[in-house]
Amino acid sequence: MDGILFIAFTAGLLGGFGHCVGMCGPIVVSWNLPLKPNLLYSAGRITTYAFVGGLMGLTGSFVNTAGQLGGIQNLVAVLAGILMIGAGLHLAGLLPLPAVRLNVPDLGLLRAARAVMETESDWKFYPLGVLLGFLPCGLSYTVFLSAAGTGGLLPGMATMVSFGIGTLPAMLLVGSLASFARERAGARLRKAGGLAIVLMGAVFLVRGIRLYVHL
Amino acid sequence: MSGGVTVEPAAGRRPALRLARGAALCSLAWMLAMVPLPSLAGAPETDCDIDRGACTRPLADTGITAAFELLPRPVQVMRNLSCRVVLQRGGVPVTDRAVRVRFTMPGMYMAENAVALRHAGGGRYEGTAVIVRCPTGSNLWRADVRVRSPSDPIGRWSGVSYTFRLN
Repeated sequence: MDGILFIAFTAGLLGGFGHCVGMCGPIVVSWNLPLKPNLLYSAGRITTYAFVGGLMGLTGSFVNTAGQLGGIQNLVAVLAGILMIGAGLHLAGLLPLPAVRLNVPDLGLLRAARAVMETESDWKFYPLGVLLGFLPCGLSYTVFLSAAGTGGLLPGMATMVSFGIGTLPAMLLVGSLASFARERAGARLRKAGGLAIVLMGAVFLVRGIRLYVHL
Repeated sequence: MSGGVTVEPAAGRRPALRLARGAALCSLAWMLAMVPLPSLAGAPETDCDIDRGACTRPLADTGITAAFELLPRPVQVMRNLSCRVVLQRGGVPVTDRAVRVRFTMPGMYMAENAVALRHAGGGRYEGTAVIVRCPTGSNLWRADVRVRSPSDPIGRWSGVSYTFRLN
């Protein structure tokens, strides 16, 4: 078991720089994620990895579980593209985002919901990470194969948590660099960045739709 | 006390103009995203038509030929596949080797996806493999077949690769 955890962590570490930066980096870049929101986003992502890894470990089948989740994953791929286009338009100054306020009592779960929903809160990136953890990804699929091979709920979860932790350095670095650049960019550079993000969002959207219709 | 969600309109002038610019930008981005990009690195050539049948190639410095195939055909991603390697030396089955197959995607790190094959008789080694789907649409894969003799004093692996495309 220890060997699998180490291999999964290493796959995350190497794949983070060799795969995730190119494939999922644009998502992190599009939402201006300095350290804390980036960590919350990644915690959400790892939560989903653990959930799916646990399912695969429990069932012992990668193919069946991936088949069941395929519809959700394709939908998330489309949503990611739409969200990126929205973020890019906002950065370019072409889509002013309205402020959202929850008119609910300041109690328990409602307080948590307010913390998540209100636009100033960093906590909204956790559920975003949970959602986008379902993004179809060849690298995570390969590690899910190992999680399915562990033959148990907890080992499957542990495998994917190790993988997710391994991806953190690359994703945090990309998010921090993008945030640093955005803070220092002038208006024109921000607009250009927004346009680039819109283009990347369109690529994600086309990719997501292709998963549905096999163009 | 009434609950609910309040959406406060964003401040700004000429929202219709902004919307039109945004829509034009999205249309342009959509058109660009639909254009297939040429490979900058140059796509590696395939040397195995995996949907046609087994691909046979010599293992380096051993005198052994390795015939590699995936079943059922046509080979599909995200399915359990029967992975087979048949080893022969001069037409005689080689039955005592350790055989592993590792799947990689040229030009893209995809983590370790390897399967150990078991001897099923007559020099045929079999195991179950899954080739994952790449959401970018890339479908070029390489199978590295590694073979080790139990009599090799330092446990060296001999290898041969097959590059193929899944349709």
